Amino acid sequence: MNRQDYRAAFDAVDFSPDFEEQTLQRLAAARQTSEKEQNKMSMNRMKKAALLTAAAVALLAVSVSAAVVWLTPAQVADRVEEPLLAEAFQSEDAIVLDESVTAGDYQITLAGMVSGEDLSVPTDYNGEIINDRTYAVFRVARADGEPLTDYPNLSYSPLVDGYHVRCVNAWTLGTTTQQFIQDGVIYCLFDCRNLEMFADHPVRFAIYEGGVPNTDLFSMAEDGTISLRENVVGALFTLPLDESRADPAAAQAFVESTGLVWEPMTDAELAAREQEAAGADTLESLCGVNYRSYIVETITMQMENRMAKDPEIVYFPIREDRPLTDYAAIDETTAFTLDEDGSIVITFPAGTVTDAVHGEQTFRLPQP
Amino acid sequence: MLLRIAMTRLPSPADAEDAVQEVFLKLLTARPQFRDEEHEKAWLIRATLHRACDMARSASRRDLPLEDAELLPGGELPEPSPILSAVQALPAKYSAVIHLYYYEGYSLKEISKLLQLPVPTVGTRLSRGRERLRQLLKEDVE
Repeated sequence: MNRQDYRAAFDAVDFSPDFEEQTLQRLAAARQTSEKEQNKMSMNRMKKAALLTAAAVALLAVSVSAAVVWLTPAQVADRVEEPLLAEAFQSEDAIVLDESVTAGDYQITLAGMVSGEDLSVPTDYNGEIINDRTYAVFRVARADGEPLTDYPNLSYSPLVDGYHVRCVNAWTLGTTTQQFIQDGVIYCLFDCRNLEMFADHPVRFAIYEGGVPNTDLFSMAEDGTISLRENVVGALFTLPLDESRADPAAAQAFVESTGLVWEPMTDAELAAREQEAAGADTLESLCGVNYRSYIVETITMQMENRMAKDPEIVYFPIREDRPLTDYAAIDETTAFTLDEDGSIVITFPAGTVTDAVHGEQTFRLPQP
Repeated sequence: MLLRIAMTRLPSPADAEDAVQEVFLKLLTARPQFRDEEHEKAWLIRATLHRACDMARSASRRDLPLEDAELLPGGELPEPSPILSAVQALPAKYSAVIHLYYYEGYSLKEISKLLQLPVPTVGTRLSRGRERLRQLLKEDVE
């Protein structure tokens, strides 16, 4: 193939001859709809909008002339074409929160949540369809009032006090997210396995800079309370779930099904464990202080090679163009063994870095 | 230009047209501030790539290939060219660089500015993307 062949292939694509005209019409219609919606707002809604604008002026330091009216959770669900969910967000079961926290450059607001069965289009999560789910809508704006035009590198995860952050989180709870930007604000619809089974514990919702929840990002107190570490940019909300809906047996069955350590670990316990392990080989002692980047780069390269050889297997970090650490923690807690050649062997459980159908994934890394 | 960029991720021209229209809608609603035309062009290219990737991911997540979705109302998609299919099969990070280099004729330095990536990263992606294309097409890329 040369440049001429490449161009010819793309030039042969048959786009609509009236694409430009269609686009202009669609833009004009969008502008008209937006103006009509603003004119049709009821007095009640106008008051609410005015209050929200005042809050936005105070919190986001936007100019008074800025017309800031947030989309409701139901409107967000409508926007991503989930009509049943939009109805659910308007039902009595829905919880309206609208709690805001400033974190770093961002103003993060948890707008509302609802839980229930069959409220959205069924999604296959690593081979399993989970219809009983919790949905949360949150939005992210820049704290200085400037519009956001790109998605920041934030992670979203429920966490439950009394359980280890590596065991109960977005990665184990079968999560999907849908997001879009409107008027410089990111709206995100997050859903995962129904969190109400944990309702007899405080259930948190974390939005933060970082990857898979681990002890570098979150601390766990003796009573199981989870907090963001001081050096981590993010927000931690508490979800007001109905305690009567808790299902401790289902919760226990879930955490045990993950195959991960579920009991929380305090900093004192972590320190004791580190001291105990001091004499043993660690990833840092084997690979040097930059062991994280070495391991991530080597495994990512091996993933690319495997995908090139076997089109059936698709690794999430390559497909999503995101770092490996968004899917699996690479830190002092990462389990590994040494093979007879002295190579480091790291195994990820099924469903962690590729579809569960491919089973657990093992990578061998020569010591640098 | 944006339609062709969207086509590097999406299987049908209609999807590519939707993606680009949505980017223009985003431009209308978000009203980002641009320093100059180059800044605006870079924003449009990145926004188109993001939107096209989101649409492709969304179709994949719902387990309904976009090609099938396109066929639902009736009609058939023409057989895509092998080159087009190969580019669409590349990871997004490679196809974007390959397309801007091969079709649009941008230099590595220009691509690095457009995609906000370091020049060596662009070079690596171009090289790896070429290699992947070579494997996919089973012939040399000049």
